[in-house]
Amino acid sequence: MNRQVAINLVFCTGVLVRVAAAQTASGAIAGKFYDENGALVTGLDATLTLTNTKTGARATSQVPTDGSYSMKGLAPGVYDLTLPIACCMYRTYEQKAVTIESGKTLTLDLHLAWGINLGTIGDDPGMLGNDMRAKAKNTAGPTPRLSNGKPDFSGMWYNVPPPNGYGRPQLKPWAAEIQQKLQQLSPDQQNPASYCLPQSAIPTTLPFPYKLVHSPELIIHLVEFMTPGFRQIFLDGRAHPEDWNPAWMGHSTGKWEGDTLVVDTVGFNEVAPGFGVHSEKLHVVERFHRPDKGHLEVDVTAEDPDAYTAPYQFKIQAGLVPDEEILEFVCPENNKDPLHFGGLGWKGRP
Amino acid sequence: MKKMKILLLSLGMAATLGAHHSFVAQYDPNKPVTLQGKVSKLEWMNPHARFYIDVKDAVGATVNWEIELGSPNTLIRYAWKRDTMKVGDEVFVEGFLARDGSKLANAKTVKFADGRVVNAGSSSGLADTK
Repeated sequence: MNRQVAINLVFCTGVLVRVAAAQTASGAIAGKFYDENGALVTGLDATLTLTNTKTGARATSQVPTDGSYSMKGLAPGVYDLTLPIACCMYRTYEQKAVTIESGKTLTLDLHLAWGINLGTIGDDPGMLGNDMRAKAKNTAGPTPRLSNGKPDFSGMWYNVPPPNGYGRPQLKPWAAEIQQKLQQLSPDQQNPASYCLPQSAIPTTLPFPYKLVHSPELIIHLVEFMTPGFRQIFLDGRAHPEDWNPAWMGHSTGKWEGDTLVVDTVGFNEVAPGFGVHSEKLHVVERFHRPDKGHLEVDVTAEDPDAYTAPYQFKIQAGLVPDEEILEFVCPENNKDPLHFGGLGWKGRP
Repeated sequence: MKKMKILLLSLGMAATLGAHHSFVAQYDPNKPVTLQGKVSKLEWMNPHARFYIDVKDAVGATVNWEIELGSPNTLIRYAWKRDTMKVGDEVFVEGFLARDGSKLANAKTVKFADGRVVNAGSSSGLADTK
């Protein structure tokens, strides 16, 4: 045995010993997700996190969509388990003090509590989006381009729900005071959408299917489940009008910075939802980017010199759902819900 | 209860996450209800579909209950058609009572007399109606 072989053997043995030690030292956890009806919960778009209570070490895993989960290679110890869930059917799951033992797999089924829609059949836009994105075909490929060479944002899209929402703006005292009054109302009373009014000043934030129809001069943004169901983004170089009647969705223009479309929106009314209590000086910039065929990213920055103490920023990510289509949604058709929360009509800002 | 309060406060705030309206605001998660009866009327309309059932109460009187579902647009995508439920069908409904005390509940499970069970617990649940 020459010296080199001997060194190699020592090295290999060392590696083997280390691997074997790691195998015996680590533990695992696995299980399934069930709802309050006892049904398997499939199609979750969520990340499971285990945090070691002593060391603070974290292990994360995007759960598969088949209703199961598993994590291996965990150092033995006690962990806090969290599964943030964005919307709407289930609540975020948390379990303290989960013990992982060396060489063992802990089987732990997670029973998810109903979220804000209380398990109502057919009322989870988050689940609908997860299912649509999971079913989507032919989403791979390069960024499609317009005739002018710029990225083409056309397509049917559905946002990936952010597990912890999009945050909220930091408000000046007068605005915070109004926000506090709004919070004393029930969510239905304070929410214009309950009265079939628009759900967001910027419909890109909504958890509903939407379609962008993009030409070099104009984007038409169609949104299901929203009143009025569309907005326009002018790309023909026009300026915002000087004498504009404030509107729920304001006035949007766009210009290119490389392959990023910068959409500038002003002219909001004071009651358009989604951006906290704000003034008519609300100014929203959306930076649209399509890194490839199947993905859309929008970086949003909102400013309001009268109402915010700092810019309000968040990121939207969406997946292409090319086989889907917008369905007609006429909200006032049979909106009986306000009868049950004492609403005779939306009262606007207190 | 504390958790529920936080949940309520977090709604309707910034950068919208919700649907047309919040079921947890309108219905009480602490008041589950099961109702059995014959379908008397269907309202296959937006923003939310509804059906009505005649339920016999403890003294044998018939009480008409209103049951709320999600939007027909979403139900259609999970294979619930406008004729999945028909007037006259005997159904068993599980849900939660309205907070305002009216004869109203949401539906988280609907069982039909022929054995079909529809719930929203998983994405495959609604497909059972095919």
